[in-house]
Amino acid sequence: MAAIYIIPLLIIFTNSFMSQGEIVRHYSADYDVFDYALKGQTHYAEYRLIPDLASLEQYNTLLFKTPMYLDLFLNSLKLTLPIVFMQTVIGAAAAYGFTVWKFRLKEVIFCAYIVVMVLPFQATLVSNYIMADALGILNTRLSVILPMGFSPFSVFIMRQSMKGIPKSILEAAQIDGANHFQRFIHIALPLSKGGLASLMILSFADCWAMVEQPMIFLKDASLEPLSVLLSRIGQGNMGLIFAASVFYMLPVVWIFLYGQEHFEQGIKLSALR
Amino acid sequence: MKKALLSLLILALLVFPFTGCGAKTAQSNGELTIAAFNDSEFLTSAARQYEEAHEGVTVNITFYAGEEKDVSKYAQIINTALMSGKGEDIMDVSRITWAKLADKNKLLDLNGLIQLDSAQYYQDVLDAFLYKGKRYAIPLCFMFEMFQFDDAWGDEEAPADFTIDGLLALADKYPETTLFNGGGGGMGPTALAYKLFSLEFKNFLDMENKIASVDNEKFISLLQNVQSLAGRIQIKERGDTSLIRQYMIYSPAMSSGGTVDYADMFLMTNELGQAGFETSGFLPSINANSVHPELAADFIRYLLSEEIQSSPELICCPVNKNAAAALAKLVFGDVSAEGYAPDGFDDNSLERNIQKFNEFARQLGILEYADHVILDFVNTEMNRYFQGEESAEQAAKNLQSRLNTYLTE
Amino acid sequence: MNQGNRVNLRRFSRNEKFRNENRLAFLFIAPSVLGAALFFIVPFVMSLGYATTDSNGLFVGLANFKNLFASEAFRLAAWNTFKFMGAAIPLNIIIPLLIGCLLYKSTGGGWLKTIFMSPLVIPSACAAFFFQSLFESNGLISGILGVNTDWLQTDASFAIAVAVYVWKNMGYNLVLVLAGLAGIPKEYYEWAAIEGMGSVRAFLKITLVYMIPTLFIAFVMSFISSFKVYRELYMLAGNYPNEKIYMLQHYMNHQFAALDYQNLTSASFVITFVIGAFVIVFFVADKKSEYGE
Repeated sequence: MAAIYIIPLLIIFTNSFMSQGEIVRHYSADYDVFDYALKGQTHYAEYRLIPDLASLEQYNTLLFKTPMYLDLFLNSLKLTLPIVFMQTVIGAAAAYGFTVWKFRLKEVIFCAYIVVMVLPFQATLVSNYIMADALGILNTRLSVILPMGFSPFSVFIMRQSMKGIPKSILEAAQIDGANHFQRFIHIALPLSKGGLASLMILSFADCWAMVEQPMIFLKDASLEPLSVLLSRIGQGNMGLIFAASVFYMLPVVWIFLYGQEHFEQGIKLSALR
Repeated sequence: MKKALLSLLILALLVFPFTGCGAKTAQSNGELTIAAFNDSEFLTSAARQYEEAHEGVTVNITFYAGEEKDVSKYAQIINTALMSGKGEDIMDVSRITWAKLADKNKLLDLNGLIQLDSAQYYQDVLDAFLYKGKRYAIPLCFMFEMFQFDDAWGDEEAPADFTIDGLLALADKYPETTLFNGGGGGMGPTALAYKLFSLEFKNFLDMENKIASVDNEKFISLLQNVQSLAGRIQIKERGDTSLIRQYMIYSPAMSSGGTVDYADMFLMTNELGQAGFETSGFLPSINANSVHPELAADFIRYLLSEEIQSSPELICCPVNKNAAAALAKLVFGDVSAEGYAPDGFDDNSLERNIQKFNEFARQLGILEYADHVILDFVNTEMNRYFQGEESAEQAAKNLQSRLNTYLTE
Repeated sequence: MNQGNRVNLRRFSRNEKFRNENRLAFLFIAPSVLGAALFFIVPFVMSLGYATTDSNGLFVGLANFKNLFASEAFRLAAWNTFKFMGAAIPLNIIIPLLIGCLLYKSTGGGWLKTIFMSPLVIPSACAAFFFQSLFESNGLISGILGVNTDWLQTDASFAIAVAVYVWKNMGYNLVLVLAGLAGIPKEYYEWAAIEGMGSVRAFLKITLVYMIPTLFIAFVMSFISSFKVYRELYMLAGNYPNEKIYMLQHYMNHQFAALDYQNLTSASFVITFVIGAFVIVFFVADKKSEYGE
């Protein structure tokens, strides 16, 4: 069963070393592309893990012939990093506030947060679009960054992990005279490292793969992130997609591996309410 | 807390008026804007002539096709413009689902703005565009397919009614013969099936009530009938003879095969005797957001006038009858001067052709290739069937659900 | 009397400090609330304006909603989405749970964990490519069966959609489950063994009970992801897929493309109300159980 999982990953990696012609040969529908005698029979897709002829042709095309790839990569970063930053800061702050604030409306607001968080983005799409239009930020990066940055999801995750912080520690600090700010930075944050890690990982992965929002809010081709390009190339150019995907996946994989430890710790903590 | 909520509410109220209420096309009187898909010499020169004839009026045409010629992208642009209260005065709606735009009152009913003398125009062609009794778009020209028995089958007479049944009967009568020569439009199984489908369009698709009836015996037998002809539909190599020759008729004098005598030609029709036609190129409608619809209407009237319609730059047959005849005579004059006229074809023959053409034109009640989305659905499903990927019943079911979804969205 | 005054003074000062503290805490929440309000709540209320007017700007009350429910496309989309979530989400919780329990004992868990998480990293285009090469008319499955069917056009497309969803999202839930299992003290199982409880009963009475918080999070995450599967579905099946997998997201996207604000906003409202109702019910139940503890 694990095979189902490894194979796609490996195929992407190794197939990126195949030349275009070879990919067509393996996956195309008709034999007649290469062998006229067999014309008319259906050709079924064959998976190949090891290229018949390893070639760097795809990478060549990707990196040198279409240099815009680098711009797209940067675009993806320029969108993802601000969003992750905003979500972390605002989310952690808000989660702390929810934890220590005592007010009747608190639960109502939190409930509203959950509702917004859970909605498919299409439901809030027109709201975001109207707002972005009214604020005049359509077609700029802000129109994607701002709504995502304020996403209630970050608050939810951080609050789950902060719930696990024993109140006694906070109260002790309060008695010692520490104000909110100090308590936040020195106690709450370090104790919710797991939550922070999982938030950053999930947020990064999510934003990195974001496709619909940039397509709708960013009309300028120069602003579009890599994920949109990958979704657009389509079947015609699978080899190129494979090579691009390898690069596309690198940052996310790196973050996953790096943060996995913290991530799991965080889940353990948040699971024990 | 309450103060915060109150200020938010005020903010919302303040912002609300600035959204959604689109600005009307802000153009000074005297500037007419046109959105067109494909480049058109005809349109550009007609615009210049109009400007010369009317002082103070400028006509600006934007051609959106570009290199990719992506109809859905163009449809998107038109849609966005119309929905946000903007858009050019005259919009080319060929291949777009203009019925949906009409439902949303984004296009004007031209019946009120343009009065057309039915004697001067091929009224049946124009009336094929009526939707819920109103006229939202007027074609400038049209073309259609006519058929003729190949000389090798000289004793076959041109049938008065040539329906799918007639085709099947012929196929039975002459087994082993290829049916069509592929000239004009080309005729694979999907193309033939689509042609037959569009002949029965009104039975399969009720655009006004948004009902699709495709999942039935009629459609399935259509598919199966064409399937039974598969392999014989079109000649495989040049030089082979086929039972029937196809011609795409562009004018009483011109067809895809040059100048031919229309004497023994016939149309493929449905049971009501209606045949299909296409209009290529510019299909004008007037934007409901336009600030000067009368100017737009005047320009369209100008485009339909005999003088402009006689321009040889019009790619297909003018809807203006006199213009059609005049154009035919002009073209024939050129053709015979260069010696390309077929033997025995003289001015009398041309007259006869014009008469026959006008008769045929009265049968043209069905617009083929109207909606690029529906065209895509039907063609894709038919392709799947003919390639053996699904059964006829499955194809009918799939197509039915797709059309249903699309129509009721 | 004096004492009473003194007591009052003390309480007053504590309350004052209390309120100050509260106000400070509010500052922490403020950016988040304001931002969310600005970008989500306020425009949402504004879109009510669109939902109650027709395309000419005239007020029509609930007519748009009536049209929405009359639309077969919407009903189909809503029903399909509901069916999909009903099938996919439980699967996405149960399967990781079972696998997690199996894996928990073995030590190879580390690598397997990474492997199962990998689909989250793969871009949608590649994922779509693989599933397509499996299920298209000349794909692997057709090859094995010797037929020429494009499975995405048949009723099996629903199963394929569920499979894509589970494939992509199972990894995350698996990690959740494993972490949750790690949090259950071993003593409980030892005690169960001593008591003579069979492993099935131990599973039901111990594992499930203590996994409830974890499973809850898994449920929420699965719920959110169930909408995201649209991306892969779109790349696999295009704008108008087979009727079994035409979902609300397809419907909404088409409305947005047609700039049909009326349908779009009324659909948004309906979705929000339905989901909101569920969430509120859950929330209240959750709060009650918390107080009960």
